[in-house]
Order: sequence, then C-alpha cells, then structure tokens
Amino acid sequence: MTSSLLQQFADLFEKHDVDAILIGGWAAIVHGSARSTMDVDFVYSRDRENLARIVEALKPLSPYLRDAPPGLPFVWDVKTLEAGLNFTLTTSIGPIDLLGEVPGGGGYLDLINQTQRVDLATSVLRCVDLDCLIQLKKAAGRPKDLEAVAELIQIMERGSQG
Amino acid sequence: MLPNLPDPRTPDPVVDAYRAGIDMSLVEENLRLSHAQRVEKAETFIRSLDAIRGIAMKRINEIDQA
Repeated sequence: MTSSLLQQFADLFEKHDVDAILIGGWAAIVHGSARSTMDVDFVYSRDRENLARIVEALKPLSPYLRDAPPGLPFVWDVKTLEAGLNFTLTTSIGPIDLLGEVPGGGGYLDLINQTQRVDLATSVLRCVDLDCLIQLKKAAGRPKDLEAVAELIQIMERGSQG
Repeated sequence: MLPNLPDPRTPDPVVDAYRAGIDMSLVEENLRLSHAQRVEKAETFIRSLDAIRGIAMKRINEIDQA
C-alpha cells in the first residue's frame, strides 16, 4: 500500500535533512483532528543551505506552481526559492505548500521552539505543538480556521498526546 | 506558545459558537491512536473520497455520452 502523502514528504525531508515544520490541516490531524485536508503545509527554514536541500528533496517530484497557467516557465532551484517566500506547489505525488512565513507566527526560527517531534511510520518530523497550532489558526482567522480551532481547543482540554 | 499572539485558552465567543457543531466522538477515537496511526487513518479516508469522486465522474461521463 502506498504510504500517505505526508509520510512521503516526511521521508524525503528526513532523507535530505530538510529543516521544515509541519503546520496546518495535517498538523491538526497529528494532534487528533477528525477534519480532512488535502495539501501538506510546511514552514521551512530560509537558510541558504536548507533551500538547497529542499530543492534536492523535491526535484524528483517535478514541483510546479499550483495556480500558475500551464506552460508558465518555473525553474525549481535555490534562486527561485530565494526570490519568493511562500510557494503553493503541485508535485507528482500531490500538493505541498512551502511557507517562509505565516500570519502571526513568523518564520521557521520563530516557530522551532513551539514544536514537538512526531514519529511517523518511516520517518520523524517536527510539528507545531497544539498551543501554537491553535494560535496560528486563530491568527489566520478564516471561518474554516475558527471552526478548526473549536475542535482543537476541545482536543487540548482532553489531552492530545499520541 | 508564541509570545506575540493571544493565549490559546483565551475565551473567544466566535470559536465557542462553533463548538456545538463538533463531533467529538470521532476525535476521541483518534486520541486513542498514535501519531502515525492518525495520519494513516486520515490518508485512508482521503483516498476513499478520491475513489468516490472518480466513480462519480466516470458515471457522469457515461451519462453525458449516452
């Protein structure tokens, strides 16, 4: 059976020593949420060496901008990552969002102390802890985020350790 | 907790309004699982949705072509 989308990205990131933090809908699932989501969201370190590691990790998956008109030139390299900040990508295995900064949360260095280690079946990744995830979703402020917060707060009240 | 954002435990009437609609029985099932099991369970559900969408689109195409 094919491993999950998150697992596949986590495996690649671990193999290439990528510094990235899981946030968003999949982070909520890790904490016990019953809400489904599609794309995988990571906040990544913008350290130049890490950008090179991200490029290498995802290169085999032919990343492309998700909302771009087909045929728009897009080069997957360090220069492209340096020139941008947040990338919503489609890949050969599924969608991934690479975020340099998130509303209210800042970037990788702002979040790294608010994370926990998560053991998946074949790799380990860093995921925002529940308190931080709630704060980020409140800061995002969309109706679907606030609905997610309502669930996450109840998870917090029950304890979410996995 | 991020120091620049409000404490997540701060009461919020908008969030509280959504609480009543949350089915916590599904969540409580998840809380009995490991992180890896939660991810796998969610992925299985998402694949099921994709399969249903695929069947539905196939049926729609069959109807269109009939």
